[in-house]
Amino acid sequence: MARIGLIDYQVGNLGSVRNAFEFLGHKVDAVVDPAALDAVSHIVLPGVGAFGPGMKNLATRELDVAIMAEACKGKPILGICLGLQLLAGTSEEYGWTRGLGLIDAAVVRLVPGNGDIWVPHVGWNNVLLSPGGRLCDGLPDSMHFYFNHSYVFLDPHANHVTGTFRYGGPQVAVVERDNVFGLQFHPEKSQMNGLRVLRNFASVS
Amino acid sequence: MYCYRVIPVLLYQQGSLVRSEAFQIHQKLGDPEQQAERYKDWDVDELVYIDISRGHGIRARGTAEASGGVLDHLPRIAAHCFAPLSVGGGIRSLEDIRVRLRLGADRAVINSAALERPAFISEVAHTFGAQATIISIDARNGKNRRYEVFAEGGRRATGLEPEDWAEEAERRGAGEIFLNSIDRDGAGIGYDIELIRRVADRVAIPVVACGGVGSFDHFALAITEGRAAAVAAGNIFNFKELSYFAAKDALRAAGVNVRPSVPSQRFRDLIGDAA
Repeated sequence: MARIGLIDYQVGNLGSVRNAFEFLGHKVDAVVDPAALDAVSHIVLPGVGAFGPGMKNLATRELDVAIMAEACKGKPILGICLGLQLLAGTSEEYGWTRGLGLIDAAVVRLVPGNGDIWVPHVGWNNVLLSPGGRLCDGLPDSMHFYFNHSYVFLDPHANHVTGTFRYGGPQVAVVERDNVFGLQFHPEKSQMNGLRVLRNFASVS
Repeated sequence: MYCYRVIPVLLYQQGSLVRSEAFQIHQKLGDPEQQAERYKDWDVDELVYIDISRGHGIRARGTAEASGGVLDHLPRIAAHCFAPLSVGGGIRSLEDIRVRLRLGADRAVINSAALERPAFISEVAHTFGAQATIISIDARNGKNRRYEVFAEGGRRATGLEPEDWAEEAERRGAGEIFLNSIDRDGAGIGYDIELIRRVADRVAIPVVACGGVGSFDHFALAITEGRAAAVAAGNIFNFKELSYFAAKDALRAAGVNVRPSVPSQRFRDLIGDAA
Protein backbone atom coordinates (compact mmCIF):
# COMPACT_ATOMS: atom_id res chain seq x y z
CA MET A 1 0.00 0.00 0.00
CA ALA A 2 1.41 3.36 -1.03
CA ARG A 3 1.04 6.64 0.82
CA ILE A 4 0.13 9.18 -1.86
CA GLY A 5 0.89 12.86 -1.30
CA LEU A 6 -1.72 14.69 -3.37
CA ILE A 7 -0.63 18.29 -3.89
CA ASP A 8 -3.41 20.72 -3.00
CA TYR A 9 -2.61 24.02 -4.67
CA GLN A 10 -6.12 25.32 -5.28
CA VAL A 11 -6.20 24.36 -8.92
CA GLY A 12 -8.82 21.79 -9.80
CA ASN A 13 -10.58 19.08 -7.91
CA LEU A 14 -8.64 16.65 -5.74
CA GLY A 15 -11.63 14.47 -5.00
CA SER A 16 -11.57 12.34 -8.13
CA VAL A 17 -7.85 11.59 -7.88
CA ARG A 18 -8.21 10.81 -4.18
CA ASN A 19 -11.16 8.50 -4.85
CA ALA A 20 -9.25 6.60 -7.51
CA PHE A 21 -6.22 5.88 -5.31
CA GLU A 22 -8.40 5.00 -2.32
CA PHE A 23 -10.45 2.66 -4.50
CA LEU A 24 -7.17 0.93 -5.35
CA GLY A 25 -6.41 0.54 -1.65
CA HIS A 26 -3.85 3.29 -1.04
CA LYS A 27 -3.69 5.99 1.61
CA VAL A 28 -3.98 9.58 0.36
CA ASP A 29 -2.72 12.71 2.17
CA ALA A 30 -3.67 16.15 0.86
CA VAL A 31 -0.44 18.16 0.83
CA VAL A 32 -0.60 21.92 1.40
CA ASP A 33 2.91 22.54 2.65
CA PRO A 34 6.37 21.03 2.04
CA ALA A 35 6.68 19.37 5.47
CA ALA A 36 3.94 16.89 4.55
CA LEU A 37 6.04 15.48 1.71
CA ASP A 38 8.44 13.60 4.02
CA ALA A 39 5.87 11.03 5.09
CA VAL A 40 4.56 10.12 1.65
CA SER A 41 5.96 7.45 -0.65
CA HIS A 42 4.59 8.93 -3.89
CA ILE A 43 3.70 12.46 -5.00
CA VAL A 44 0.83 13.33 -7.34
CA LEU A 45 0.45 16.75 -8.90
CA PRO A 46 -3.08 16.98 -10.33
CA GLY A 47 -4.63 20.00 -11.95
CA VAL A 48 -7.30 21.46 -14.13
CA GLY A 49 -6.82 25.10 -14.93
CA ALA A 50 -4.12 27.49 -16.00
CA PHE A 51 -0.32 27.19 -15.96
CA GLY A 52 0.43 30.66 -14.57
CA PRO A 53 -1.85 30.54 -11.52
CA GLY A 54 -0.80 26.92 -10.94
CA MET A 55 2.89 27.79 -10.73
CA LYS A 56 2.12 30.88 -8.65
CA ASN A 57 0.13 28.85 -6.11
CA LEU A 58 2.90 26.26 -5.86
CA ALA A 59 5.48 28.99 -5.34
CA THR A 60 3.41 30.73 -2.66
CA ARG A 61 3.43 27.54 -0.61
CA GLU A 62 7.08 26.81 -1.51
CA LEU A 63 5.83 23.56 -2.95
CA ASP A 64 7.64 24.18 -6.24
CA VAL A 65 11.05 23.95 -4.60
CA ALA A 66 9.92 21.08 -2.37
CA ILE A 67 8.69 19.01 -5.31
CA MET A 68 11.95 19.60 -7.20
CA ALA A 69 13.87 18.50 -4.10
CA GLU A 70 11.81 15.34 -3.73
CA ALA A 71 12.39 14.61 -7.43
CA CYS A 72 16.15 14.78 -6.82
CA LYS A 73 15.77 12.38 -3.89
CA GLY A 74 14.16 9.87 -6.21
CA LYS A 75 10.62 9.88 -4.87
CA PRO A 76 8.12 8.89 -7.62
CA ILE A 77 6.22 11.93 -8.88
CA LEU A 78 3.20 11.89 -11.21
CA GLY A 79 1.90 15.00 -12.98
CA ILE A 80 -1.65 14.78 -14.37
CA CYS A 81 -2.89 17.09 -17.12
CA LEU A 82 -1.96 20.57 -15.84
CA GLY A 83 0.36 18.74 -13.42
CA LEU A 84 2.17 17.20 -16.39
CA GLN A 85 2.54 20.58 -18.01
CA LEU A 86 3.94 22.12 -14.84
CA LEU A 87 6.75 19.58 -15.01
CA ALA A 88 7.93 21.27 -18.18
CA GLY A 89 10.45 24.04 -18.62
CA THR A 90 8.18 26.71 -19.99
CA SER A 91 4.63 27.38 -21.13
CA GLU A 92 3.32 29.94 -23.57
CA GLU A 93 0.01 30.30 -21.73
CA TYR A 94 -0.63 33.97 -20.92
CA GLY A 95 2.91 34.91 -21.99
CA TRP A 96 5.93 32.70 -21.30
CA THR A 97 6.00 31.25 -17.79
CA ARG A 98 8.59 28.98 -16.18
CA GLY A 99 7.55 25.56 -14.93
CA LEU A 100 9.27 23.12 -12.62
CA GLY A 101 11.69 22.13 -15.37
CA LEU A 102 11.75 18.47 -14.39
CA ILE A 103 11.15 17.37 -17.97
CA ASP A 104 12.85 19.39 -20.66
CA ALA A 105 9.92 20.48 -22.82
CA ALA A 106 7.76 23.43 -23.73
CA VAL A 107 3.99 23.65 -23.42
CA VAL A 108 2.14 25.20 -26.35
CA ARG A 109 -1.47 25.75 -27.30
CA LEU A 110 -3.36 23.30 -29.48
CA VAL A 111 -4.50 24.85 -32.75
CA PRO A 112 -8.05 24.09 -33.95
CA GLY A 113 -8.26 22.72 -37.46
CA ASN A 114 -10.11 20.86 -40.13
CA GLY A 115 -11.19 17.32 -39.62
CA ASP A 116 -12.88 17.85 -36.25
CA ILE A 117 -9.90 19.26 -34.38
CA TRP A 118 -11.67 21.29 -31.71
CA VAL A 119 -9.89 23.06 -28.84
CA PRO A 120 -10.04 22.06 -26.03
CA HIS A 121 -9.40 18.42 -26.92
CA VAL A 122 -12.30 16.96 -24.93
CA GLY A 123 -13.10 13.31 -24.97
CA TRP A 124 -11.50 9.92 -25.33
CA ASN A 125 -8.58 9.16 -27.59
CA ASN A 126 -6.36 6.16 -27.94
CA VAL A 127 -2.83 6.25 -26.68
CA LEU A 128 -0.06 4.19 -28.26
CA LEU A 129 2.29 2.97 -25.57
CA SER A 130 5.96 2.19 -26.11
CA PRO A 131 7.46 -0.90 -24.56
CA GLY A 132 9.74 -0.22 -21.64
CA GLY A 133 7.54 2.45 -20.09
CA ARG A 134 7.11 1.74 -16.39
CA LEU A 135 3.78 3.48 -16.04
CA CYS A 136 2.06 1.30 -18.60
CA ASP A 137 3.98 -1.89 -17.87
CA GLY A 138 1.86 -4.96 -18.48
CA LEU A 139 -0.81 -2.97 -20.34
CA PRO A 140 -1.85 -3.34 -24.00
CA ASP A 141 -0.04 -1.33 -26.71
CA SER A 142 -3.07 0.84 -27.39
CA MET A 143 -5.55 2.08 -24.79
CA HIS A 144 -8.29 4.72 -24.61
CA PHE A 145 -8.10 7.49 -22.06
CA TYR A 146 -10.09 10.67 -21.33
CA PHE A 147 -8.50 13.97 -22.31
CA ASN A 148 -9.59 17.53 -21.59
CA HIS A 149 -6.95 20.17 -22.38
CA SER A 150 -6.05 23.06 -24.63
CA TYR A 151 -2.24 22.83 -24.30
CA VAL A 152 0.20 20.10 -25.28
CA PHE A 153 3.80 19.11 -24.61
CA LEU A 154 6.21 20.02 -27.37
CA ASP A 155 9.52 18.39 -28.28
CA PRO A 156 10.57 16.54 -25.16
CA HIS A 157 13.46 14.13 -25.65
CA ALA A 158 12.18 11.15 -27.59
CA ASN A 159 13.37 8.71 -24.94
CA HIS A 160 11.22 10.48 -22.34
CA VAL A 161 8.03 9.90 -24.32
CA THR A 162 6.43 6.53 -23.61
CA GLY A 163 2.94 7.24 -24.91
CA THR A 164 1.52 9.25 -27.80
CA PHE A 165 -1.89 10.13 -29.22
CA ARG A 166 -3.06 11.77 -32.43
CA TYR A 167 -4.98 15.04 -32.46
CA GLY A 168 -4.02 17.46 -35.18
CA GLY A 169 -0.80 15.48 -35.52
CA PRO A 170 1.16 13.27 -33.11
CA GLN A 171 1.07 14.48 -29.49
CA VAL A 172 2.67 13.49 -26.19
CA ALA A 173 0.45 11.48 -23.84
CA VAL A 174 2.91 9.90 -21.38
CA VAL A 175 6.37 11.02 -20.28
CA GLU A 176 8.82 9.27 -17.98
CA ARG A 177 12.18 10.44 -16.78
CA ASP A 178 13.62 8.26 -14.01
CA ASN A 179 11.20 8.81 -11.12
CA VAL A 180 9.24 11.62 -12.74
CA PHE A 181 6.11 10.65 -14.68
CA GLY A 182 3.47 12.66 -16.51
CA LEU A 183 0.11 11.98 -18.12
CA GLN A 184 -1.70 14.36 -20.46
CA PHE A 185 -5.00 12.51 -19.96
CA HIS A 186 -7.01 12.11 -16.74
CA PRO A 187 -6.43 8.60 -15.36
CA GLU A 188 -8.94 9.27 -12.57
CA LYS A 189 -11.61 9.84 -15.23
CA SER A 190 -10.61 7.11 -17.67
CA GLN A 191 -12.61 4.26 -16.19
CA MET A 192 -10.76 0.99 -15.81
CA ASN A 193 -7.84 1.91 -18.07
CA GLY A 194 -7.02 4.89 -15.92
CA LEU A 195 -7.19 2.91 -12.71
CA ARG A 196 -4.70 0.42 -14.13
CA VAL A 197 -2.22 3.20 -14.86
CA LEU A 198 -2.63 4.64 -11.38
CA ARG A 199 -2.14 1.20 -9.90
CA ASN A 200 1.14 0.92 -11.81
CA PHE A 201 2.29 4.30 -10.54
CA ALA A 202 1.57 3.33 -6.95
CA SER A 203 3.77 0.22 -7.41
CA VAL A 204 6.78 2.20 -8.69
CA SER A 205 9.49 2.50 -6.06
CA MET B 1 -7.81 8.46 -33.06
CA TYR B 2 -10.39 10.77 -31.49
CA CYS B 3 -13.47 8.98 -30.17
CA TYR B 4 -16.84 10.69 -30.35
CA ARG B 5 -18.54 10.51 -26.97
CA VAL B 6 -21.91 8.98 -26.08
CA ILE B 7 -23.32 10.74 -23.02
CA PRO B 8 -26.38 9.72 -20.99
CA VAL B 9 -28.22 12.65 -19.40
CA LEU B 10 -29.90 12.35 -16.00
CA LEU B 11 -32.69 14.87 -15.40
CA TYR B 12 -33.48 15.48 -11.78
CA GLN B 13 -36.57 17.19 -10.41
CA GLN B 14 -37.58 17.44 -6.77
CA GLY B 15 -36.25 14.11 -5.60
CA SER B 16 -36.85 12.06 -8.68
CA LEU B 17 -35.30 11.13 -11.98
CA VAL B 18 -37.63 12.47 -14.71
CA ARG B 19 -38.12 12.49 -18.46
CA SER B 20 -39.37 15.53 -20.32
CA GLU B 21 -41.10 16.47 -23.55
CA ALA B 22 -40.59 19.90 -25.11
CA PHE B 23 -39.33 20.93 -21.66
CA GLN B 24 -42.91 20.71 -20.40
CA ILE B 25 -44.08 17.34 -19.23
CA HIS B 26 -41.94 15.81 -16.58
CA GLN B 27 -42.72 12.20 -15.90
CA LYS B 28 -41.22 10.69 -12.78
CA LEU B 29 -39.03 7.69 -13.48
CA GLY B 30 -37.56 6.82 -10.13
CA ASP B 31 -34.42 7.06 -8.08
CA PRO B 32 -31.62 9.05 -9.74
CA GLU B 33 -28.93 7.22 -7.80
CA GLN B 34 -30.15 3.85 -8.99
CA GLN B 35 -30.03 5.01 -12.60
CA ALA B 36 -26.55 6.47 -12.07
CA GLU B 37 -25.40 3.08 -10.77
CA ARG B 38 -26.63 1.46 -13.97
CA TYR B 39 -24.68 3.99 -16.03
CA LYS B 40 -21.53 3.27 -14.07
CA ASP B 41 -22.01 -0.42 -14.83
CA TRP B 42 -22.18 0.55 -18.50
CA ASP B 43 -18.65 2.02 -18.57
CA VAL B 44 -19.96 5.30 -19.99
CA ASP B 45 -17.78 7.92 -21.69
CA GLU B 46 -19.23 10.73 -19.61
CA LEU B 47 -22.33 11.53 -17.55
CA VAL B 48 -24.43 14.70 -17.39
CA TYR B 49 -26.66 15.41 -14.39
CA ILE B 50 -29.07 18.36 -14.63
CA ASP B 51 -31.39 19.64 -11.91
CA ILE B 52 -34.51 21.11 -13.52
CA SER B 53 -36.33 21.75 -10.25
CA ARG B 54 -37.61 25.25 -9.67
CA GLY B 55 -38.43 27.15 -6.50
CA HIS B 56 -39.62 25.50 -3.28
CA GLY B 57 -36.15 26.04 -1.82
CA ILE B 58 -35.09 22.89 -3.60
CA ARG B 59 -31.84 24.30 -4.92
CA ALA B 60 -29.14 25.07 -2.41
CA ARG B 61 -27.52 28.34 -3.34
CA GLY B 62 -23.81 28.08 -2.71
CA THR B 63 -24.12 26.91 0.85
CA ALA B 64 -22.41 23.94 2.41
CA GLU B 65 -25.60 22.91 4.17
CA ALA B 66 -27.52 21.75 1.15
CA SER B 67 -31.26 22.25 1.47
CA GLY B 68 -31.88 18.84 0.05
CA GLY B 69 -32.38 18.03 -3.55
CA VAL B 70 -29.67 17.42 -6.08
CA LEU B 71 -26.78 18.22 -3.75
CA ASP B 72 -27.89 15.42 -1.44
CA HIS B 73 -27.71 12.92 -4.30
CA LEU B 74 -24.56 14.21 -5.93
CA PRO B 75 -22.01 12.53 -3.63
CA ARG B 76 -23.52 9.10 -4.22
CA ILE B 77 -23.84 9.71 -7.95
CA ALA B 78 -20.19 10.80 -8.05
CA ALA B 79 -19.00 7.89 -5.91
CA HIS B 80 -17.05 5.32 -7.94
CA CYS B 81 -17.78 7.34 -11.07
CA PHE B 82 -14.45 7.08 -12.85
CA ALA B 83 -15.72 9.00 -15.86
CA PRO B 84 -16.26 12.76 -16.13
CA LEU B 85 -19.40 14.00 -14.40
CA SER B 86 -20.92 17.30 -15.53
CA VAL B 87 -23.50 18.91 -13.27
CA GLY B 88 -25.93 21.71 -14.06
CA GLY B 89 -29.18 23.35 -13.04
CA GLY B 90 -29.44 26.57 -11.07
CA ILE B 91 -25.74 27.40 -11.12
CA ARG B 92 -25.51 31.15 -10.63
CA SER B 93 -22.20 31.80 -8.84
CA LEU B 94 -18.63 30.57 -8.50
CA GLU B 95 -19.54 29.27 -5.04
CA ASP B 96 -22.36 27.16 -6.54
CA ILE B 97 -19.71 25.52 -8.73
CA ARG B 98 -17.23 25.10 -5.90
CA VAL B 99 -19.86 23.28 -3.83
CA ARG B 100 -20.66 20.90 -6.66
CA LEU B 101 -17.01 20.18 -7.46
CA ARG B 102 -16.37 19.42 -3.80
CA LEU B 103 -19.27 16.98 -3.84
CA GLY B 104 -17.77 15.11 -6.78
CA ALA B 105 -18.66 16.89 -10.02
CA ASP B 106 -15.90 17.55 -12.56
CA ARG B 107 -17.49 20.11 -14.88
CA ALA B 108 -20.16 22.78 -14.56
CA VAL B 109 -23.07 23.23 -16.99
CA ILE B 110 -24.32 26.81 -17.03
CA ASN B 111 -27.34 28.16 -18.88
CA SER B 112 -29.49 31.08 -17.71
CA ALA B 113 -26.86 32.64 -15.50
CA ALA B 114 -24.60 33.09 -18.53
CA LEU B 115 -27.42 34.67 -20.55
CA GLU B 116 -28.19 37.10 -17.74
CA ARG B 117 -24.56 38.06 -17.27
CA PRO B 118 -22.21 36.86 -20.03
CA ALA B 119 -19.15 38.01 -18.06
CA PHE B 120 -19.88 35.09 -15.70
CA ILE B 121 -18.58 32.73 -18.38
CA SER B 122 -15.06 34.17 -18.25
CA GLU B 123 -15.14 34.25 -14.45
CA VAL B 124 -15.90 30.54 -14.43
CA ALA B 125 -13.29 29.75 -17.09
CA HIS B 126 -10.58 31.71 -15.28
CA THR B 127 -11.37 30.15 -11.94
CA PHE B 128 -12.00 26.55 -12.90
CA GLY B 129 -10.59 26.28 -16.41
CA ALA B 130 -12.26 26.14 -19.80
CA GLN B 131 -12.28 22.36 -19.37
CA ALA B 132 -14.83 22.72 -16.60
CA THR B 133 -16.91 25.44 -18.31
CA ILE B 134 -19.82 24.08 -20.35
CA ILE B 135 -22.42 26.50 -21.68
CA SER B 136 -25.81 24.89 -22.25
CA ILE B 137 -27.97 26.43 -24.97
CA ASP B 138 -31.68 25.64 -25.31
CA ALA B 139 -33.12 26.54 -28.71
CA ARG B 140 -36.55 26.58 -30.32
CA ASN B 141 -37.46 26.86 -33.98
CA GLY B 142 -38.33 30.45 -34.77
CA LYS B 143 -39.56 32.30 -37.83
CA ASN B 144 -37.85 32.40 -41.21
CA ARG B 145 -35.80 29.25 -40.66
CA ARG B 146 -34.06 30.83 -37.69
CA TYR B 147 -33.68 29.40 -34.22
CA GLU B 148 -34.02 31.30 -30.96
CA VAL B 149 -32.28 30.77 -27.63
CA PHE B 150 -34.53 30.46 -24.57
CA ALA B 151 -33.58 30.94 -20.92
CA GLU B 152 -35.13 29.65 -17.71
CA GLY B 153 -35.90 26.15 -18.93
CA GLY B 154 -37.56 27.26 -22.14
CA ARG B 155 -39.70 29.96 -20.55
CA ARG B 156 -37.99 33.20 -21.54
CA ALA B 157 -37.23 34.18 -25.12
CA THR B 158 -33.91 35.97 -25.51
CA GLY B 159 -34.02 37.12 -29.13
CA LEU B 160 -30.60 35.53 -29.66
CA GLU B 161 -29.75 33.03 -32.34
CA PRO B 162 -27.94 29.98 -30.96
CA GLU B 163 -24.96 30.22 -33.30
CA ASP B 164 -24.37 33.85 -32.30
CA TRP B 165 -24.68 33.08 -28.61
CA ALA B 166 -22.40 30.05 -28.93
CA GLU B 167 -19.78 32.19 -30.62
CA GLU B 168 -19.96 34.75 -27.82
CA ALA B 169 -19.74 32.00 -25.19
CA GLU B 170 -16.63 30.66 -26.91
CA ARG B 171 -15.10 34.12 -27.04
CA ARG B 172 -15.69 34.53 -23.33
CA GLY B 173 -13.92 31.27 -22.49
CA ALA B 174 -16.41 28.40 -22.66
CA GLY B 175 -14.75 25.04 -23.28
CA GLU B 176 -17.80 23.27 -24.69
CA ILE B 177 -21.38 23.89 -25.86
CA PHE B 178 -24.22 21.59 -24.74
CA LEU B 179 -26.92 22.21 -27.31
CA ASN B 180 -30.56 21.27 -26.70
CA SER B 181 -33.43 21.38 -29.14
CA ILE B 182 -36.52 22.24 -27.10
CA ASP B 183 -38.87 21.24 -29.91
CA ARG B 184 -37.24 17.83 -30.34
CA ASP B 185 -37.03 17.16 -26.59
CA GLY B 186 -38.78 13.86 -25.93
CA ALA B 187 -40.13 13.74 -29.46
CA GLY B 188 -38.12 10.72 -30.54
CA ILE B 189 -37.86 11.82 -34.17
CA GLY B 190 -34.12 12.40 -34.22
CA TYR B 191 -31.81 15.31 -33.56
CA ASP B 192 -32.30 18.70 -35.22
CA ILE B 193 -29.30 18.37 -37.52
CA GLU B 194 -29.65 21.84 -39.01
CA LEU B 195 -29.51 23.41 -35.55
CA ILE B 196 -26.44 21.40 -34.57
CA ARG B 197 -24.66 22.17 -37.83
CA ARG B 198 -25.25 25.92 -37.55
CA VAL B 199 -23.71 26.05 -34.10
CA ALA B 200 -20.89 23.61 -34.85
CA ASP B 201 -19.89 25.54 -37.96
CA ARG B 202 -19.56 28.75 -35.99
CA VAL B 203 -17.30 27.66 -33.11
CA ALA B 204 -13.97 25.84 -32.70
CA ILE B 205 -14.94 24.36 -29.34
CA PRO B 206 -16.74 20.99 -29.17
CA VAL B 207 -20.54 20.89 -29.44
CA VAL B 208 -22.57 18.18 -27.69
CA ALA B 209 -25.93 17.44 -29.33
CA CYS B 210 -29.02 16.72 -27.24
CA GLY B 211 -32.77 16.41 -27.78
CA GLY B 212 -34.80 14.16 -30.06
CA VAL B 213 -33.24 10.72 -30.10
CA GLY B 214 -35.86 7.97 -30.46
CA SER B 215 -33.89 5.15 -32.00
CA PHE B 216 -30.23 4.17 -32.10
CA ASP B 217 -29.78 5.09 -35.74
CA HIS B 218 -30.51 8.74 -34.84
CA PHE B 219 -27.15 9.23 -33.16
CA ALA B 220 -24.76 9.11 -36.12
CA LEU B 221 -26.20 12.02 -38.13
CA ALA B 222 -25.44 14.48 -35.34
CA ILE B 223 -21.77 13.69 -35.90
CA THR B 224 -21.53 12.93 -39.60
CA GLU B 225 -23.76 15.81 -40.74
CA GLY B 226 -24.19 17.97 -37.68
CA ARG B 227 -20.46 18.00 -36.85
CA ALA B 228 -21.14 17.39 -33.17
CA ALA B 229 -18.24 16.16 -31.05
CA ALA B 230 -20.51 14.08 -28.86
CA VAL B 231 -24.08 12.80 -28.70
CA ALA B 232 -26.20 13.04 -25.58
CA ALA B 233 -29.61 11.61 -24.81
CA GLY B 234 -31.88 11.04 -21.86
CA ASN B 235 -34.92 9.00 -22.63
CA ILE B 236 -33.47 6.28 -24.81
CA PHE B 237 -31.11 5.23 -22.05
CA ASN B 238 -33.74 5.26 -19.32
CA PHE B 239 -35.62 2.10 -20.10
CA LYS B 240 -33.58 -0.39 -22.07
CA GLU B 241 -30.92 -2.41 -20.32
CA LEU B 242 -28.45 -2.72 -23.21
CA SER B 243 -29.23 0.64 -24.79
CA TYR B 244 -25.80 2.20 -24.24
CA PHE B 245 -24.05 -0.64 -26.04
CA ALA B 246 -26.66 -0.60 -28.81
CA ALA B 247 -26.00 3.11 -29.27
CA LYS B 248 -22.28 2.52 -29.71
CA ASP B 249 -22.92 -0.40 -32.07
CA ALA B 250 -25.14 1.80 -34.23
CA LEU B 251 -22.52 4.56 -34.34
CA ARG B 252 -19.80 2.11 -35.27
CA ALA B 253 -21.97 0.64 -38.01
CA ALA B 254 -22.40 4.17 -39.38
CA GLY B 255 -18.62 4.61 -39.51
CA VAL B 256 -18.28 6.81 -36.41
CA ASN B 257 -15.27 6.07 -34.19
CA VAL B 258 -16.38 5.40 -30.61
CA ARG B 259 -14.52 3.99 -27.67
CA PRO B 260 -15.43 0.40 -26.75
CA SER B 261 -17.38 0.22 -23.48
CA VAL B 262 -17.24 -2.96 -21.45
CA PRO B 263 -19.71 -3.91 -18.75
CA SER B 264 -18.87 -3.85 -15.08
CA GLN B 265 -17.45 -7.32 -14.55
CA ARG B 266 -14.05 -5.92 -15.54
CA PHE B 267 -14.16 -3.51 -12.62
CA ARG B 268 -14.78 -6.37 -10.26
CA ASP B 269 -11.82 -8.20 -11.76
CA LEU B 270 -9.68 -5.14 -11.19
CA ILE B 271 -10.59 -4.91 -7.51
CA GLY B 272 -9.85 -8.59 -7.14
CA ASP B 273 -6.45 -7.96 -8.71
CA ALA B 274 -5.58 -5.02 -6.49
CA ALA B 275 -6.81 -6.54 -3.24
